[in-house]
Amino acid sequence: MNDLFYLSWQYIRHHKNKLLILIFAITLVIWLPIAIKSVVDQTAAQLLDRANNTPLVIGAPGSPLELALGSLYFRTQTPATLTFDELNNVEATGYASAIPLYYRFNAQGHPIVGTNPEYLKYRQLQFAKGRPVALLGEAVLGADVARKLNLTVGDFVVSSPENVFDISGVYPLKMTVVGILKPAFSPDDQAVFVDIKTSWVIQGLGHGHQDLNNESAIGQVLKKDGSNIVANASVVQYNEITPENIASFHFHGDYSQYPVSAIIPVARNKKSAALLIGHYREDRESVQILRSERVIAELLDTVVTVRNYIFIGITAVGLATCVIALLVFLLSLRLRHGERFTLARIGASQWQIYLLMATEISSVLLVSACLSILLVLATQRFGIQVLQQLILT
Amino acid sequence: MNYVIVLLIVLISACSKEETENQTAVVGAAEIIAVNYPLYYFTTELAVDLATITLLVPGGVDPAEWTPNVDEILRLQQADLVILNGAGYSRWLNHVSLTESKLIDTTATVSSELIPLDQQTTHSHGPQAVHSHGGYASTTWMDLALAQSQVQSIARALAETWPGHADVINQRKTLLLNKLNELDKSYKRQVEQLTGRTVFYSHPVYQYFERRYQLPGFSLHWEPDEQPSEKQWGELERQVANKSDVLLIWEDSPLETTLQRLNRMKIQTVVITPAAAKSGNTWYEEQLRNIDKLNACCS
Repeated sequence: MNDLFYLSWQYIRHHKNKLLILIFAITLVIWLPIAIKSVVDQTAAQLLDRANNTPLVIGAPGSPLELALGSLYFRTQTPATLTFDELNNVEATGYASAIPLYYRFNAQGHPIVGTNPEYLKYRQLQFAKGRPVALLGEAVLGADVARKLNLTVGDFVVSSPENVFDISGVYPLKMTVVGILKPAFSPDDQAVFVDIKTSWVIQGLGHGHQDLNNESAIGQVLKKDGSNIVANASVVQYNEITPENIASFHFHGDYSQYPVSAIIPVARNKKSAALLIGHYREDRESVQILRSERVIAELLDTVVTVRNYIFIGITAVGLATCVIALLVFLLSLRLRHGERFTLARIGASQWQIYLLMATEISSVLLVSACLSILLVLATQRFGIQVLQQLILT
Repeated sequence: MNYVIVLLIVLISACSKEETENQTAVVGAAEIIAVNYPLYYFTTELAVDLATITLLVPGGVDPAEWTPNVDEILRLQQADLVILNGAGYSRWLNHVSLTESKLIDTTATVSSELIPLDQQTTHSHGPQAVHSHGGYASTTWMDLALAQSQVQSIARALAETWPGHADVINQRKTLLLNKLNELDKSYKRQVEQLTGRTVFYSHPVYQYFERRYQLPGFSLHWEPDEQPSEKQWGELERQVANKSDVLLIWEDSPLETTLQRLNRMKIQTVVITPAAAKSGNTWYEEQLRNIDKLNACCS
């Protein structure tokens, strides 16, 4: 038996390039359909899990898919907004408590999510370091953000300008990192959480500046008319909120008219959820309420259809590859006719010759199968993360 | 094989038990935090056995000037309800992260009755519109009618939070409103005796008291525990010149030297404390003492 393996091994060594290509092709044919199915299923499970945990979302009228993706995954460009008083409207129904979300801004590509302390409790997010946001200008980082930006408690994260050409736009806000979350393996890992009022400061709806009544600001005052002071544009506006200047931060206008991207209503029970949906669908045309699970399921239907097309294509390619592999083996056997004749002349029996050929073919198939299994396991373990990284970068 | 199945069942049971225990651990004693002593008193009268009622402001510190530190903010975040005075009383509110639905603004329903502060500085800079950082007078409870509205707001919030105790809360609310009504009548009776007198207030915290009891006066900026400067004395002398029967109402007992000089100027004094800060007496007892002092000084 050893002499058979020896001869097979020598054959493989001699034709290693041809066999490596064959192994590679067969491995791909086995791995690809399984990998695609695995990644799509995992993605679908993750998407549905997030949607199941956030059954209802309220937002401005428009695309339900955009609202669902924005409120669940913070992935949307300049989202349509509601006014903050919608939060009170939700509470006033008595059917649900309400969590605001404002995810218009980002910090180095990571969404800044303005919300209130209930959000972290709602998502059951745990702290790896530090504490929740307590003050204006403080931030809590998702696990991935902290790792990628190499930030820890006490460091700073700076909001990114929406448009680099908008030189008269709002200043970036430097925010103190007060907490790092444990990995949640969800979009929360990618987010920077701040109080919603901090988001409004980033937008310029609130700001802090020198006290214009103070003598040190005399150079910035254009005129004093009774109790009205007109200052020029050189008034120092703070781009960082510190214990020293926090008292100077103020908001203009009525809070209730300030923007929020979405509201997560936390219904008291299923009946309350149904009543809330009824209330919004019947009485409120200026806002939309959606069942995020349904929206995501519709999206997944499309994804699954695409997956099926890909699956059919890959199966066809796989069959073609198998036929080609079979052809390669048959041609190989024909080419090795002289080799078989030599083996017979030196005393090898017929079955030994067939066994030798079979050993070589089965070695190729076995190696391909082993590689495919390893790749499938790797895909199941790291596929989603790698795919997310590829999409994000 | 049977052992494996039994082991799996035990493991699943253990996991389920742990989950249940975590959920149970979340349910703890409710806490209500009030931002000043009158609100603390009202809430205690209404909900003493429903929740732990807390006033975070230490004794001797004016709650209007108090700002919570980070630990106190985190405690406010954990509270079931935070009873606010409204009217811009808690200036720190815009700078902290709290859940809106837990904040009970006790003057929200009477916002049209709030008194805007005079001489607010407005300003404009850059492309932004003119705006001001001013606000409203905030010692609202010194108008006992407004105090009753505040009690109504607290009772409503408590009944919504603990609907099973709504009847008890309403019964207690009625009792408390009666007490406040009696207090209001007593103030009116005492203040009627001051008609025609020239009244000064040591600090501009009596706007609602002045309006409710029709006792207008001039507000100084004198601190009871500080000796007024000669400039302040000079201004007072100028203002009381040619006036008789002058009464100066203090937030708290002034220094003895201040009192002696006021006596020499023939200015009568009385302490009517808003009792915004924690003291040895309840807020209600402080109000009764106010009425006694008014009675003793001016009847």
